[in-house]
Amino acid sequence: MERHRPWLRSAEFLGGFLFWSAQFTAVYMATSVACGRGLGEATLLGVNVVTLIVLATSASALAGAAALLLLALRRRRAGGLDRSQAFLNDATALISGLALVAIAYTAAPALLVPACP
Amino acid sequence: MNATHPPAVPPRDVDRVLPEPPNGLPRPPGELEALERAWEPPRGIRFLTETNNNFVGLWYVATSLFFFVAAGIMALIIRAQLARPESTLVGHDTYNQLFTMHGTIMMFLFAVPAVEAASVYLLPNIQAARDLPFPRLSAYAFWAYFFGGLFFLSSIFQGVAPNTGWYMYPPLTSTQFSPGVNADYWLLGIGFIEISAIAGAIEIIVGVMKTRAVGMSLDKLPVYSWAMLVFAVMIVIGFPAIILGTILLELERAFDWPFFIVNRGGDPVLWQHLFWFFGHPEVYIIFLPAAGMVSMIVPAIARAPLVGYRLVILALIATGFLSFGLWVHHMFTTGLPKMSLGFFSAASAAVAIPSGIQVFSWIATVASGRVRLTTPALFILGFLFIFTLGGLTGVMVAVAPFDWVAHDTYFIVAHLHYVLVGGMVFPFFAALYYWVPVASKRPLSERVGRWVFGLMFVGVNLTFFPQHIAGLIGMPRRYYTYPVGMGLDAYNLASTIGAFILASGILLFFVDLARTFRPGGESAGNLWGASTLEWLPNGNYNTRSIPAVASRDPLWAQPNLAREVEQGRWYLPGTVTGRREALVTSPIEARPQYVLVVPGPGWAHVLAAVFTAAFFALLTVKLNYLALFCGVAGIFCVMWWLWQLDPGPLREPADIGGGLILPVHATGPVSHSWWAVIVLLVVCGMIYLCLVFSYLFLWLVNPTAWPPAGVSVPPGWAGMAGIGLYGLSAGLVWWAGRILHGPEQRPRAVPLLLGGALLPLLGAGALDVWGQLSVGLDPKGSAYGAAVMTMVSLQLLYVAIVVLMLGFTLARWWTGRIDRVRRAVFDNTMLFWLYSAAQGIVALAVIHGFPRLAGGL
Repeated sequence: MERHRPWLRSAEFLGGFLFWSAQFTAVYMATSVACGRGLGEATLLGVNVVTLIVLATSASALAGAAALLLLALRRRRAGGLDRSQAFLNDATALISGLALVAIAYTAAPALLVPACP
Repeated sequence: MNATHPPAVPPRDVDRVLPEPPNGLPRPPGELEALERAWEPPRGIRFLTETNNNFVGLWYVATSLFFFVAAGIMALIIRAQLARPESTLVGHDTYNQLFTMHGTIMMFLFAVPAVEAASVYLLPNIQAARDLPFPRLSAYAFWAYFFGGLFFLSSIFQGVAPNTGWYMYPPLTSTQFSPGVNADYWLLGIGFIEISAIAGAIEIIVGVMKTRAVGMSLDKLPVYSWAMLVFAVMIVIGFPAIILGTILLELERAFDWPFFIVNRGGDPVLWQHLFWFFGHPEVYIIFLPAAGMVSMIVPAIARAPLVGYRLVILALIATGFLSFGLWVHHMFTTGLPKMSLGFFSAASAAVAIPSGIQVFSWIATVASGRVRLTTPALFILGFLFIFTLGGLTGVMVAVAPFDWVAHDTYFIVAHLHYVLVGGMVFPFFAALYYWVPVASKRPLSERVGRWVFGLMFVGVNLTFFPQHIAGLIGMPRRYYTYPVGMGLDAYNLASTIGAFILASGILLFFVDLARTFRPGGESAGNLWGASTLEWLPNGNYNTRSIPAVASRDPLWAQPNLAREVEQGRWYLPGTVTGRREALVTSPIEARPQYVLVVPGPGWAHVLAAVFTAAFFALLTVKLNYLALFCGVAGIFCVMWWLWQLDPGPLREPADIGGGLILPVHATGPVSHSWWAVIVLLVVCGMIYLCLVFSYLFLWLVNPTAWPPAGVSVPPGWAGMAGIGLYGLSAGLVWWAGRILHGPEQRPRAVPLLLGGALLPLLGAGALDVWGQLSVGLDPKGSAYGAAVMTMVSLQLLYVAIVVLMLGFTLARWWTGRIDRVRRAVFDNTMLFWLYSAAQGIVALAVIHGFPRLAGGL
C-alpha cells in the first residue's frame, strides 16, 4: 500500500476531517467578510446570502465526506485487504463518519441564528 | 505484583504467522561489547554533551518538574494572599507578576516540555528504536529550554516579571500601558520555548514515522505513539500562530508598528485570534500525550488489551482536527457575529465526542479485566473523575450565553484547573509511578504513593471546586484581593487549605523520588506485567536487538520475545559501523529501509543552545549588540554541528540479521532528513499563512480604504518581475537537483547553477524592497504599512537564510562532502530554496494583487 501514492492515501485517510476543515474555514471567512462589509442582510431569491453560502459549502463537504465513507465501506465489503490495509480502511471510514457529524454541527447555526449581530 | 502468565491477546489482533528470530546462538564474541562501547556515555564534564535519549529524557523530565515546583510555589503565595479578604500579604504588582508567571510557567515551561520530555525518554523504548533520529536536536531543544527557562524564571526575583496575564492581551501589553521590560520578558522569553517545542515536534514526527520495531505497522503502533504523532502535528500547526503573534507584538513595542493600535488601523482582537489559534489547541497538545499515557497504563493495570483501539485512534485524530475549530470560544465576549459564535460553539460541543470515546474505551478496558488498585491505577481513576468534571464545565462554557456570564470569573479558573490538573497532571503522575521502573533500579513506594494520591486528590478538589461557586457569586479572576461581606471568604479559605494539602502531596512525592529513584544500570523490570516494548531488558543502547512484532501487545503475544531480544537473536544485535545506529523503517508497514548512523555526543549543539537562549535573553534586556554577537555565535555553532552530519555511506550495505542486507545511508524522500525538512517547511508555511491571515484581518477591520489614504501600491510591473525572478531562481535550483541525480558523481554544473539561481533570488528581494520604498511605505503610519513591511522583511529574512545555506552547501561541495550519493545537505538547501521562492511569489501576489482586487470593497 505504501508503495502506491502515499500522499494520496494519507489525504484519503484524513479526508473526512480535511473536508470539515475546508468547510469550517470557508463558512467562517464568508461570515466575517459579509458582516465586516455590511453584507449580512443581503439576500438571493429571498434567502440570506450568508446562510446560502454556509449551506452550499456544508452540502459540498458532506458530499465529500460521505463519498469517502462509502468508498471505504465498499472496499471493506469487497475484502482482500491485509491487516494493515484493513486498519487504514476502517480508520478512513470512522474518520469520515465522525466528520459527517462535525460538518452537520458546524452547518447548524446557519439554520438557527442570524448571520450578523 | 509481577504477573507470570500474560493475558491472552485476541487472535484477530495477532499476525497469523509469528515472526521467528533471524539470528542463532551463540552470538559472535565481542558483538555486545562493541554495542556497549558505541553507546557508552562520555565521562566528567563531557557527560553534558551526551545525546542519548535515556539521559537527555531524564534531564528533560527533571527540569520540567523543577519548573512545576517553582510555579506551584507561586500558586501557594497567590492562595495565601487570597486566604482572607483585604489581605496585604503581597502587593497588587507582585500579585500580578505571580499569577502571570504561574500560568506562563505551568503552560510553557512545565506542561508542554514535560510531555515532550517524557516522549524523548519513552518513544524510542516503546518502539524498540535505539534512539530518536535526531538525538542532537533533542539535546539542543533541552538545553535551550533549560538555560532560557532559568533566565525567564529569574525575572520574578528582579521584580520585572510579566504582569499582564499569561495571554498577554494588548492594549494592556502595548508600550503605552506596559512601558517596562516585563512584557518583553514574556514575548522574547517564550521565543526559545517555541523553538524548543518545534524542534521536539519535528523529532517526534520523524521518530514515530521512521524508527519503529520491524513490522510495527500503523495498526500495531502503540496508542502512545499515535498520541505523540498527533501532538507533534498539532504543535507544527498551532505554534506558528503564537510565534507570529509574539513577533508582531514585539515589533509594535520595539518599533511602533501599529498592528494592535486602533487609531492607526490596528486591532487588539487580532492578537486574540493569533493567541487562541495556538492557545486552545495547546490544551489538547497537553491532554493528548497524557491520554496516550493513560491508554498504555490502563491495559497493564487491568491486564486486558485496550478495548476499541481503532476508535481511540479515531478519537486522537478527531481531537487534533476539531481542536483547531475552537479558538473563538475564548472570545465569545468580543462582539463577533452571532453565526460565527455558533460555528465555534458547535465545534466545542463536537470535540466532546472524541474525548467521550476515549473515556468509554478506558472504562470498558477496566471492566473487561481485573484491575489492581496500584498507585498508577489510583491516579488514573483520579484523572477520570477530575477530568470528566472539567469536561462537563467545558461543555457549559461552550454555550455562548453561559460564557457571557461566567467569562473572566473564578468559574473559568476552576474549569481550566479541573481540565489541566485532571487532564495532564494526574496522568503524568500515573506515568511517573508506572514508568519509573523502566529507568530506575527501584520503583517508587506503593505505600507512600497512596498517600501522595490521597493528598493530591483531596487537595485538588478542595482547592478548585469552591472556585466554581465563588465565580458564580461574581468573584473576578486576577484581582489581588476582595472585600469583606461578599460571601467569598469561606470559599477562598477552603481553596487555600486545599492548595496546601495538594502541595503536601507533591512534596511527599519528591521525598519518595529522592529516596528511591536510582537511574543507570539494571532497571527494576516489568513489574506490572505490561505488554509493550519499553519493558524489554534495556541498556544505554535501549534494546540489545530490534524485534519484529506480530501484535499491539507484543510481550503478551510473543512470550519469549524479551529473552530473545536480550540474547541478540533479533535484528541489528550489534553495530555494523562501530558507531551509534538506529534502524529506519517505512512509515506505514515498518519495513526496514536502512541503518542510520546517529550522531553522538558533542559540544556544538550545547553551545548552540546556550547562544540561542543568550540571544533572546540579551534582546529582552536591550543589550542588542551582545545579543547580535550571541546570535551569530549560535548560527556558527549550528553550522559546526551540521558540518559533522551526512557522513555518506560509511561501508557497503550490511547484514542486520537473517540475511537482511540494508544500506547504511539514504537520501531523498525515503530519508529521515528529507522528512524533517518537509515538517520544518510546514512550520514556515503556517507562520506565513498566519501572517496572510493577519493582513486580511486588518483589511477587514479597515472599511474605508486599503491601502489607507495617502499610501499607494508599488507598480504592477515590479510585482510581475519579482514573481518571474523567484520562478527563475526556483527553476535553476530544481535543475541543479536533476543534474545531481544523473550518472556523473560530482557534476560541475551544480555549483554554477546554484550561484546562478542566487542572482534572481536577490534581485526579486531587492525589487520588492525598492517597490515599497519608491511609494514611501511607512510601517509606523498605519497597520497596512506595518503588515506589508512585515511581509517584505520576513521574505528578506528567508532570502538571507538561503544565502547562508548556499554558502554552507558550496563549502561542503568544495571540500568533497557532496556528490550524487552523499547529497542530504544539497537536498535540504534545495527544499528550503524552493519553499522560499514559492513564499516570495505568494507574498508578491498578496501585496500587489489584493489591494487592486479588493482594496475598494
